[in-house]
Amino acid sequence: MLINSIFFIVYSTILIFAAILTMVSNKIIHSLIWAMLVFLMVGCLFLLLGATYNAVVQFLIYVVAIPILIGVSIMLVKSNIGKRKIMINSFWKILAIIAFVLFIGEFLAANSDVFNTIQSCVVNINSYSDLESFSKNIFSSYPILLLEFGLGIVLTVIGMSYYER
Amino acid sequence: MRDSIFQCLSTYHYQVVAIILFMIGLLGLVYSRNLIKILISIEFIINSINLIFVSFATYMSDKNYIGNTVVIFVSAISALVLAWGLYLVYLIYKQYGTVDVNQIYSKYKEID
Repeated sequence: MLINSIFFIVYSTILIFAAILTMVSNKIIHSLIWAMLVFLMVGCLFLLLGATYNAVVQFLIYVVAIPILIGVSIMLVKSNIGKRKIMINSFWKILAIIAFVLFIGEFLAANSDVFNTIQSCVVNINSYSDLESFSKNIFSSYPILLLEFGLGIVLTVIGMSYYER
Repeated sequence: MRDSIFQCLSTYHYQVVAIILFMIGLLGLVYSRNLIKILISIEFIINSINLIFVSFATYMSDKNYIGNTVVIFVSAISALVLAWGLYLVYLIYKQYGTVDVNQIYSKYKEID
């Protein structure tokens, strides 16, 4: 119970500060990144409450789908973005290296014994009898893929902010 | 006397966090000038309500699946509302050339 309380305090503090920074940021793309952190922390509080399926829905809708939607809208309402002569991101070399490392990691996770080793270390639930066991199975079976997917989304938003700058 | 937070978490603590998030969203809704930031504030308010639903469903009810199901529906509908809101923002930007509420209002008064 002490661990839960500490996690609750950490999540709540990050949530409140990120929400305040969302409102006081001058650039709207920075507000979007802080808002992503707020939605992520709300999902973590759902996990803390034991609502695993709600946390999965929160991560998929609020942390992945809605920021992409808002980011595309921000790019649409910037009138000068199509008038630039150089359309390529100036940080493309760094992003290409990160994308290559992520690709190698995903290749290793999907095609070698690393994935099976990790899968054997965690608790594997084979029954899909209810929603809770289904969501637990998602979290326990695909930790690396979920992590890489989240990292890819974060890198996309960071690259979008550089592009907007 | 209420127990310390290190002894037991209750729905009271989650309610406090949700109300703070609700107030921040409400202040952003009132004071923001950017239309997209106003939509983000509405999402904050919906998230705070979701948090209250899940905390009540966990701590105060035996049938906790009802609150969780409501939260899933609310999430889906809020995503739909946000998509429509962003479409309206894009239409307003095409009409007035800005997403600033004050400038939109002044241009609307000029046209009117």
